[in-house]
Amino acid sequence: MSSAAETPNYNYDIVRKFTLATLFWGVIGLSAGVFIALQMVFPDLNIEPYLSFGRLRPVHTSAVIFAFGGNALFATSYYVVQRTCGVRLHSDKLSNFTFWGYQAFIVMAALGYVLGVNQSKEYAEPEWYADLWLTVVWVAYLYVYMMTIIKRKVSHLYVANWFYLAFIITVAILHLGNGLALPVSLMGAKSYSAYAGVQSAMIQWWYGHNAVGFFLTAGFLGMMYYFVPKQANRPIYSYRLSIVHFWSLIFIYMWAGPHHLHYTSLPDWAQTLGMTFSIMLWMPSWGGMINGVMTLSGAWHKLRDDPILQFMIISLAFYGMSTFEGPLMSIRSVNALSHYTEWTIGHVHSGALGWVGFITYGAMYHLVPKLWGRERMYSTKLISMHLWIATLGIVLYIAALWPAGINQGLMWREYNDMGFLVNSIIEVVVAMKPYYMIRVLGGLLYLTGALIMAYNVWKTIRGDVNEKEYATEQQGAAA
Amino acid sequence: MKEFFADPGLGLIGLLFFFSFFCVATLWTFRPGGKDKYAKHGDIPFKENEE
Repeated sequence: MSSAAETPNYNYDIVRKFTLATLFWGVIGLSAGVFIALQMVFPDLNIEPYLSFGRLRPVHTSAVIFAFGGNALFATSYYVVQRTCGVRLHSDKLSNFTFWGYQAFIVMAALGYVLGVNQSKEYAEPEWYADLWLTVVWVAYLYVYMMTIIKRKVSHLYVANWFYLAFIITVAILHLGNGLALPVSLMGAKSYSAYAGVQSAMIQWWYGHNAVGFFLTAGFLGMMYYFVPKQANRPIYSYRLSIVHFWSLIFIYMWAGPHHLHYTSLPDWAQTLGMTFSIMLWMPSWGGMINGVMTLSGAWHKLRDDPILQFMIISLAFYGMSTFEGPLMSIRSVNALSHYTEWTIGHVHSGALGWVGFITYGAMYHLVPKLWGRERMYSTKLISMHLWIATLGIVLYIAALWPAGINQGLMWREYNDMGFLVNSIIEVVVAMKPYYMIRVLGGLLYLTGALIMAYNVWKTIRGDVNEKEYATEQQGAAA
Repeated sequence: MKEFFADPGLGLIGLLFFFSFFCVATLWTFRPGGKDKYAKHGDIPFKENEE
C-alpha cells in the first residue's frame, strides 16, 4: 500500500492537526447554530446575559466560518501546496505556530462574544486585541505558504494554489482595512472604529461581501480544484477555463459589496455599481461550477458508488444554486422584498451548508485515510448516511426559510386602503414560528451528519476495520 | 489627497487597466497552440512524486 503517511518528505503532522480542529469546531459551531435556532422558537432559552441570542449568534457564525471553514482551509492549503509543489512545507515551527495561534484567536474571539466584548461589525466582531493577534498569525500563514511556493520543484504553480493564495492575501487586506480602530485604553477591550457613518457601512460591506467571496468562495474553490480531480481520478475538465475563472472572480467580486446597502444613504451610483458587478458574477461562478461538474464528463458512473464524490458534486450544485440566487437578490427591486428577511438566511445557508460544508466533508473524507495511513475510511455506508441526512437537513432548512422570507417581506410591506401598515411586528414574528421549527429540524439533521462523520473518522484513525463492509466488497470483487 | 481620489479620470484609468489586464489574460490563455501545455498543467495533481 502506498500512503501519504509513509512518506516522510511532507509535513502531514500539521495537516492532521488542522483536520481534527476542523471536525471539532464544526460540531461546536453547528451545535451553537441549532441552539440559537431553538432560541428563535422558544425565547425562554435566552439565558441572560451570557447565553442570549445576541451573544451566541456571533459564536455560531465565527465558529462555522472561521473555526470550521478556516481550519479546513489551513489543512487543505498546507496539504495541496506541498503535494503540487513537490516540497515540504516551509518551517515546521512557524506552521505549528499558525495552528496554535489560530486556535488561540478562535477561543479569544468566542470568550469575548459571550462576555459582551464585540466590535459590532458583522463577521468581524472580535475587538482590537484579538484582531492584532490574528494579523500576526495571518502574516505567518502567508509567509509559510509563500516560502513553500518559492521553493517549489514543479515549475508551474497549480491553479488550486492561485485560489488559496488569493484567499490568504485578500483576507489580510480586508482584515486590515475593516479592522482599523483606536482602542480606548491599552488595558481595556473597547475600541472605536476609524470609520463613521455611511463610509463605515461601505467599508463593512466591502469587507463582509469579500469575506464571502474570498474566504468562503476562493479558498474553497482552491479545495475544489484539487480534490474533485483527485477523487474522480481525472484532471479538471478545462484548465484554461480555471484560469479565466480565477481572474474574472478576482476582478469582479471586489465591487459587489454595496448590494448589501440598497435603499440606504449610500449614493445611488454605488448601489447600482454593486448590483451590476453582482450580476456579472454569474459568469465566473457558473463557469467554475461547470468546470468542476464536467470533470466527471465521460465517467459519470463513478458518481454511483462513491459517496465522497457525491459530496463534492452536490456541493458544486449548491455552489451553482447559491451563486445564481445571490446576484438575483442583489437586484434592487428583488432586494426590496428580500432584504432583512429570512430569505437572506436561507440563501446564506444554501451556500454555507451546501457548498462550503459539503466540499469540506468531501475533501476531509479523501484526506483522512491518506493522513493516517489507512487504505480507506472505516465505513463507506456511514459516509453515505452522512451525505443523505445532511442533504435532507439542508433541503428542510432552505425550503423553510425561502417562503418564510417572502411571507415576512410581504407582511412588512402590506398596507390597507387608508395607507396604514396591516401587520404589527409581533404578528409577523408569530407567522414565522412554523418555519423556525422546520429550520431547527434541518439544523439537527445536519449536525447529526457531522457527528456520524466524527465517529467514522475516529474509527478510521484508530485503524478499525469494518469486517461486514469489507467482506461484502470482497464478495463483490470476486463475483 | 482628497481631490486625488475624487478625480473621475482616476476611476476610468483603473477600470481600463483592470479590464485590459483581464482581456489580455483571457486571450493569452486561449492562444493557439497552448492547449497541450494547459493539459499538462491539469495533470499536476496526478504527478505527485509519491504516487
